[in-house]
Amino acid sequence: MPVWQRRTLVAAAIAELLYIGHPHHQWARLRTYFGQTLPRSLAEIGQPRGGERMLPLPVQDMLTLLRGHGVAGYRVSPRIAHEPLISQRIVEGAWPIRPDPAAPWYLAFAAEGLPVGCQSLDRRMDVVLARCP
Amino acid sequence: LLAALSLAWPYIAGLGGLPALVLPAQARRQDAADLRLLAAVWSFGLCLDYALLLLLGWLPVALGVGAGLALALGLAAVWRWRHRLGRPRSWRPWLIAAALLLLGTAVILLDPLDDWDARSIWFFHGKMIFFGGGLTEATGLGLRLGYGDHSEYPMLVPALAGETAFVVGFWNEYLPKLALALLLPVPILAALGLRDTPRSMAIAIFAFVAVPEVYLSNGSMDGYLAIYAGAAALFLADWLEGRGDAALLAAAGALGVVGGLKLEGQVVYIALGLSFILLAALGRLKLPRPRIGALLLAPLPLAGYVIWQVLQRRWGLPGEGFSVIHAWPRLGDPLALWQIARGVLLDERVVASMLILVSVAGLLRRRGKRFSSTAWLALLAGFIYLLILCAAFAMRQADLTWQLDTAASRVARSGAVLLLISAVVALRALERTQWPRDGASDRLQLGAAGKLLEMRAAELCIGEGMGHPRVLLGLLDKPAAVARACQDTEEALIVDNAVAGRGEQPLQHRLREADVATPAGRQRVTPDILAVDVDDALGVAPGDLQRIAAGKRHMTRIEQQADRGAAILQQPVDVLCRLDHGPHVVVHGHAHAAVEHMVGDGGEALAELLPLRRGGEARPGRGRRPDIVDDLARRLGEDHDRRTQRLQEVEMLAHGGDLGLGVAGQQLRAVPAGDQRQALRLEQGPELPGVAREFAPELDAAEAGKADLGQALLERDEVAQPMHAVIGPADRVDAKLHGHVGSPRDWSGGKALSPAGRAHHQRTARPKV
Repeated sequence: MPVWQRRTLVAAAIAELLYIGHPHHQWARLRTYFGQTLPRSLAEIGQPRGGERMLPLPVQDMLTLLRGHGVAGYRVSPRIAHEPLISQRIVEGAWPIRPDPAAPWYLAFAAEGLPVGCQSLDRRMDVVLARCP
Repeated sequence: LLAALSLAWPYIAGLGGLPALVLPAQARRQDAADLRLLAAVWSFGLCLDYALLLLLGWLPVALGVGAGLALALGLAAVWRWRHRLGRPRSWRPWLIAAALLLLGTAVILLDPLDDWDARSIWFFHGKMIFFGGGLTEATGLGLRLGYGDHSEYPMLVPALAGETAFVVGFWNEYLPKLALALLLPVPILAALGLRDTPRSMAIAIFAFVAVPEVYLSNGSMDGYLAIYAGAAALFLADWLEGRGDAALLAAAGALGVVGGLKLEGQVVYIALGLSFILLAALGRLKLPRPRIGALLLAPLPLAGYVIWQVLQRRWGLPGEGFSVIHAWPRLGDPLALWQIARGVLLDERVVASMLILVSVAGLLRRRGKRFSSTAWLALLAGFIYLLILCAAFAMRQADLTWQLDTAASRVARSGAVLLLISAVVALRALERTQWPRDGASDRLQLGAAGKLLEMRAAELCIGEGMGHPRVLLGLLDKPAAVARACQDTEEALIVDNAVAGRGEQPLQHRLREADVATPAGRQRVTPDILAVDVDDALGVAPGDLQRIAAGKRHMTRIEQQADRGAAILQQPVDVLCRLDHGPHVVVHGHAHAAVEHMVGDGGEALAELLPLRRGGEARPGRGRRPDIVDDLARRLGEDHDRRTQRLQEVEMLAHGGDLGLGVAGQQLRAVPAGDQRQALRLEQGPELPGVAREFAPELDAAEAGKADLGQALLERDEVAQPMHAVIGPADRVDAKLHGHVGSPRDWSGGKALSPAGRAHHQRTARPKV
């Protein structure tokens, strides 16, 4: 490749790198990626359910509770339902355990009161799994 | 796990074998066309995989049928193209493509799913397909789970993600992202196809990397929608510019993928379609006539899109909720309109694309060029896309501010990429037509010294004799550099017809046939030199020998001479003029030069057997060592005067003492003859009737490589790369002057010099080597 072509490409590549990396936090993200994220990813990539650490902590706790009790369907408390990040992530993360308004299994925050007749079966950090009639 | 992941690549490639089966397997194509064909193959594979899952429903069935098809189509395509599966002409683009693919795959796979849309839509659907065992009504779509799972969205990537998890045997947040890596080859190939126009390539890389940015790896489809829309526009422009059916199929495949990625793919369809119709209606587009096979195959990638539309309606999946009713209040609200315009049209990527586009337009204007119709296609499509997007934001029921904040920047990227592709298409047209000349100048300005040193280094190996004033050796007198230009397949030239024998000014043929540049501009381009620019001459492998050979096969010759006396008088004049005019160099090219070099003395016999050597006028070998002069003479016709050559050889032997020890012995036969009058033997008389016309020029061809210099006694040919134009020996080997300054004729007022004058001239006129 002639010199001028090479220079053009190198200049374009540098310009694009600068463009991509302009916000200073991008470089910080790169450092974090190579220092922490990448080693963990390499350890998890071949594992079933690997990468669930990306989910919010309450969701990770909910998943542990649901899987631990062999739940097939569940419903969530109104407070969870009003937190899009939690409710959406539990729907995606728990699949094929489906959300079901009629299911006896009930997920709630520990600080919440359980519906009448429901019995708390398990608790993990701030999350409670209850069984309702 | 690695095996499972590796199988995905041959699976997709095999499924996409149809374009390779439909398009003619040409023996000689350029890399750019190969890249387009590969892009077509890959995008067809993606689309066919998608269509199979939609049609068959169940993963094991779809994958089983797909694997069978991939095996059959892939093997058939490989068999059909088997003669092209050897060593590529250049490894570099393929290595770059492989490196980019590997790097991209690693970056994508090692980043777990985190983006909202990626998790909530695309890979959630993929998870549904994996755990549901396929894509059926029972998969779970349309249950209105969570916050809008957009179950009506196309399923190409979810299907690939589900298939990946099915093959691996489990789901996690990493491996299904292989679906994204499988989308990488087409944009990589599209960008690599522009490597002959580096400025355009830089813009394309910007469009394909910097505009999609994180959306190339985080699992959201907006980035891939943008680059596939851009790739489709680029391939469409290629096809409209007459670059073959592979471009049409690549465009169709890219459009098929666009329709399978995201709902906004329909907006891309509308934008490109309207733009196409508009330009066609204005008569700005000339539609190439595709082969019937390509025409029939082109709609196939859209099968997945069509099937999904049918399934959506059959399954009653909810739509997006666009309505004109919502648009009316917003259209009457200046604040809402400003919000939409700011969110879409003033997005930073759209603005950056516009600035680049304006810069390119300014450049075109400065060069006296206009936007080509194919550039207008992408330009109009980009604007139409952005306008439709504005309308879509106006027509949605959801809160406008929230919509714009969460979606405008993502979805506007496709419009930005289309605008950039318009700039790419316009700029590459300029690069192809104008910058080859400038590029060659730049190259020569920047690297002239290196280039000439490179050539002279080869020449120096010939021997010190090249510096002797009476001897003209080598090819560097008035060198003509031949630049590469227009290297696409469809612009490939028949080298042998390019310039050779056509005109006296090779530059006249530049635009039509070859690009010629010289270090000092046109005034230096008066070469009688056959310039052969051979890149990597040593790398010319025997497998490449069947390519186009350079130069003319036959020498200019002396016609039957009618008048012996005139011939005797004419001969010295011709010789003198030849020396005055600089070397008339002939490279008699053929496809088997390297073989002959390798086989040594036996090369002559072999050469006689090879096809290109069996010209009608070629004479059989003379049973002695082949050398350059002999080889040239062997190409003389029946009426060529053999004795002239013999005499010149004798003269050179006579002048050998002047050359001294520094003369390379092997060059003696290659040295042009002296110009002194010589008595002719009587027995030559009967063979010299008529008027002497032209002499057979005798100069050895310079070698671009050094390895063969030790075999200089053998004939020395140069095999040109196909896209290197060869300036043939000018058809002006005559007694006329052609503008050379300082010839003895000038000094002597146009009269032939006396022997003493010629001797003086020969002593003082140092050949330019």
